[in-house]
Amino acid sequence: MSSENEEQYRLIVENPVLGIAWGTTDGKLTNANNTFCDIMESSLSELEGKSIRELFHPADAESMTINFQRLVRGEINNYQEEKRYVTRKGNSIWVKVNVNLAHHTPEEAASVIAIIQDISERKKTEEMLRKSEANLRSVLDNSNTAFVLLDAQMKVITANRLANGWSFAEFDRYLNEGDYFVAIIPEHFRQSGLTIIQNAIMGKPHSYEEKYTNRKGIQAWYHVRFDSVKDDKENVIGLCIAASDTTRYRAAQAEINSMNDSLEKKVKERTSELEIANKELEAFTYSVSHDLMAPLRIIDGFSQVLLDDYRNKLDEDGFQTLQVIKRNATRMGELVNDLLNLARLGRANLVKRNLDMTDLVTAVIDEMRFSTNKLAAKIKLQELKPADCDHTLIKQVWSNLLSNAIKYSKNNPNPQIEIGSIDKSGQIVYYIKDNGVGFDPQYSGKLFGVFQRLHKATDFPGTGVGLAIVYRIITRHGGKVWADAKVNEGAVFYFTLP
Amino acid sequence: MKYTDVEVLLVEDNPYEAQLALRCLKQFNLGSRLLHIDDGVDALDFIFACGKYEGSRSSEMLKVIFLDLKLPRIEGLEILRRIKSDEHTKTIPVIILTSSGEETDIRNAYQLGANSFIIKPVDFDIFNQVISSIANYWIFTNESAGLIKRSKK
Repeated sequence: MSSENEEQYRLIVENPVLGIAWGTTDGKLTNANNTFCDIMESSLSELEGKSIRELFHPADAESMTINFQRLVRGEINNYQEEKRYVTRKGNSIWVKVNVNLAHHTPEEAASVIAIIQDISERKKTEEMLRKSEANLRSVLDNSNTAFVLLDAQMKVITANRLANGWSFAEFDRYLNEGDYFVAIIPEHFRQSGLTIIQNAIMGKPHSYEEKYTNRKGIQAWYHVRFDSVKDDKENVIGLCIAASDTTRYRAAQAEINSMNDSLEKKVKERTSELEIANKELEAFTYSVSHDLMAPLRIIDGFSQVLLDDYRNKLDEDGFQTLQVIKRNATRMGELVNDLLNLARLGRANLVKRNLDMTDLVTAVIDEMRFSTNKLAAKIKLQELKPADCDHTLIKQVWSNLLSNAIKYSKNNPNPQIEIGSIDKSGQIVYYIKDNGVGFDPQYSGKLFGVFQRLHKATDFPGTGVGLAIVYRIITRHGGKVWADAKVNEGAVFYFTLP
Repeated sequence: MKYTDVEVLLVEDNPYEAQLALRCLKQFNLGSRLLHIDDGVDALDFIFACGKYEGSRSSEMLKVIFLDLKLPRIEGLEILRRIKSDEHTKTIPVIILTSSGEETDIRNAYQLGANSFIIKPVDFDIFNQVISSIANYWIFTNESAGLIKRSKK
């Protein structure tokens, strides 16, 4: 070997990329370069004399042996394979092995020379790519949307499982890579399909919903969408067709519609029933207010006639008796009137708007001062939070509550009434508090019932409808009303408005 | 019978109610200037001088009509409508006197041109005060259109 040749040989052997190993034809390693030793994480002395087979991963050793034997037998001059080695430290690495039979002089025995390249990194990348493709495929194939991806020439790139299962009944084959999509659209859809595809490629996505018979012969509704596929630079590189089965959705929608229809019908029926009931009630209250009031007025009026015209013919008893008749006629008139008011409140339309409650209550207090001769009570009105409610009806509520507070505190030498509102975890609670006679809280359940009274009429006159009206109005607003009291310790009435 | 001097007309079908109202009006000593009619058709006949009041020029001096709403044959609101839609009678003040505080009645009455709407109180003392003050106002205080018309003749 010339010195020049020797130098070239040395350069090859000492290269840092390719591992080189020499061995005997019976599979023993005789020599190796540094790179090979590095790959195997071993020193040359540890490798020398070792069986080549032992270098391989057990799973690869068998197939390696077959190739090696063919080489040794002279059937082939060389072979190449990608196999796994196991290094001294037990690491498994992928290598590309190129094995040649070296022919020497007749007196020298044949030997093998192997060139080894570490391809672990490439294998790792390949594996990752394979996994990621498998993941993507599994996502695509398990999607309940059918996808067909076309390239710029409208050839099929890929189609997921669902797309193949659903495709038109007229398709005589599955969608294969490289198929011209337009060619496999059934004849009668072809022209319109082509237009849609062209538009989508021009950047106008298109979607429609249509009933098709699929490959399995099942008719179903499909929502189909055409979108262009673009690269990083916004160039159209293909088309994505996505279809989803909307049959169940449509059926559910139809069911909802029919349920809505029947609900609407029911509401109409109920409404008309209610309207009839309301009309009857209206006729009833109308007749009550006319036909019941007239006799009362006549009883009261003619009692008065007796008192005026026959005063000197009546003894004290007769006079008192007539007074009783008169008082009771008047009282019944009040009861009927209150009942009519209650009935009217049930029917009145709520006209809600945002109200300045402080102004409203101030007006109620002023009216009360005007109509009550001597208003002894001291009324303390705090700033009230505004509310969305019916002006007339809520005014009625305050009026009833305030006149109650005045009435039941009038026997206190120093009557005091306090009106305010508190914010109870976001809910505004209005209250009116008096220092009057109060009531026994065990009867508070009766408080808001019609004609329910907790005091004797001789002590505190009234019909027992005022709080029923309050209850009716607050409930109709969707609010709540309640009261706290103790005998002789005053009462507090609370209400909320939603 | 002459009706040309009727100034106050009471239209009320219930005889007892009418009796009470007339009792309240008695203090003004109206005599033949006060007329009570207990039926809707008769009331219209009187106001428009037809039927049994044909040619009586009965409504010329009318200063006020007290009109109940619930009447036999023709309802009070219908009577009101006819009075207020006729050129010759629409200036006659009509006071609705009724038991009902029904909102629709009140609204309808005013829309038809009622001059006042009174809900009759049960308490006769109050009733008396109300009727007296109304009568006093319309008969003695208020200047009626009918009088101007007549004085111009």
